[in-house]
Amino acid sequence: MSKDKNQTPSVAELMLDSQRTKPAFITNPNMDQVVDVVLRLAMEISVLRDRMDIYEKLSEENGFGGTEKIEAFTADESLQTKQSERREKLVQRILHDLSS
Amino acid sequence: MSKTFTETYQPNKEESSRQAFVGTLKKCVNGALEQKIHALYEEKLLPEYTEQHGKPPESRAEAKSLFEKEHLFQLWGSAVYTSQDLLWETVGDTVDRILESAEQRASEIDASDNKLGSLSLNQELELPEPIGSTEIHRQPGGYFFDSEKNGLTSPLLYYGTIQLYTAAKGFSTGKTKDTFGGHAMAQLITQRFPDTKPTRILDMGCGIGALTRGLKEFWPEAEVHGLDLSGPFMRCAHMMAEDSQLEMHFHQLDAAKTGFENNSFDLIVSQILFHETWDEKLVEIMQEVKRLLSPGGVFFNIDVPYQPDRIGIPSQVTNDWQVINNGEPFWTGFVDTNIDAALAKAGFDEQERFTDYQAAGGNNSYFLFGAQVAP
Repeated sequence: MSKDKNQTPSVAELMLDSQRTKPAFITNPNMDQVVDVVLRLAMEISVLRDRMDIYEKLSEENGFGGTEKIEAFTADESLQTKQSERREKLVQRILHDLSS
Repeated sequence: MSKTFTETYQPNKEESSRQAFVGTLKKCVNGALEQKIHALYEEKLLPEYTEQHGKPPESRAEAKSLFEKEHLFQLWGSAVYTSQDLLWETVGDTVDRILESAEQRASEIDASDNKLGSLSLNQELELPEPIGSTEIHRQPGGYFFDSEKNGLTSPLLYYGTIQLYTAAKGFSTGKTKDTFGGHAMAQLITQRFPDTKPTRILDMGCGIGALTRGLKEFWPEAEVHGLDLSGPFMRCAHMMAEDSQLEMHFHQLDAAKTGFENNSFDLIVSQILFHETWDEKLVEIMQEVKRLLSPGGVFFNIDVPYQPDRIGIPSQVTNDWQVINNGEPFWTGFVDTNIDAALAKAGFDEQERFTDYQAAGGNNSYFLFGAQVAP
């Protein structure tokens, strides 16, 4: 973080500004709900990472290239729709946990 | 020459995924979750208040404390706040990564001898307060960040959020020419004023010039100018116009004191400018417009439709929350302002001025206002 004073700070550094703290909006945080959400997210992320490792390994073993191919990949419309629907379902379930 | 700016601004796979998530999160929080607050009001808060006081609450001030006690409202606020931070954080990752390439492109264009349009910066421009020191939408660093060098961080963050919202609405990013509705605005203008064939157009508070470019595409023969208080935004707008092979002129100027000659424009427009200003400034800008318009000229503005008589108590309360907590400092002042009276104060006659609402699909609408001066 200690950079030359003349150098423009990055957005990542601006976001870490100590004055950018979140005010308290929730007077009675229900920690049980928060734990529900954090664990659900951790579980889903873990599942995704495990599965992605398999794809990347298989892809490499079968000569389909690694990271470079992944970065160069463009999703077609049906995949975009599928991903967008899945994303929305995840957010809706989280918000349901937090608001029920 | 290096890659164009839009070729340069490409989120990588992980950045795209995070940005897509934030887009969805915002859609659900501002949509379904906010609707739950409306239902809570109708089903619980309103009946309880009416029973206690013998009448429903008449203003957002009266109703605010009812909401603030509710977990659902608190959760909504907390989620809106965090989603806004996630917006800046995830777009910021892309901006930080590509900033150098974008700066290189802009410097090449700044130094080029073959420019179609022009860029006029004014480092001495005095920023009207409190605009100069406000982080609108809590954008880190605000719109005037790194102004000494006219560094591109602030317009890139702004551009990145537009790309994020465009993608979240199901449009491919970077491909839509008319991202921010320049053609749509031009059509609204010609519907209302069928004889409009502008020769000189001014877009006030034009930001990165997305709407401005749409206007130039719609009226290619017209000489098109854009102005904004932010030097970095004007530099970015100029780069994007040159990249798009459009002859356009950008000026770092205060819309209330432009220095352009009397009667020098026959169409002056703005989109979502006036809700980022305040009542006194608003009249000053309108007076300047009155001076700049040539006979028969049109003044046409699109802004937020959240006037209290248009929306129910729950939306008034959630909007008020946005003002206090989410970097919309002038929003409430704008919607509480009588725009017709402001136009009148600025010198537009009753036959000249108009205010109207335009349906825009779903529950959305625009607030339109302006004037056509006498020929």
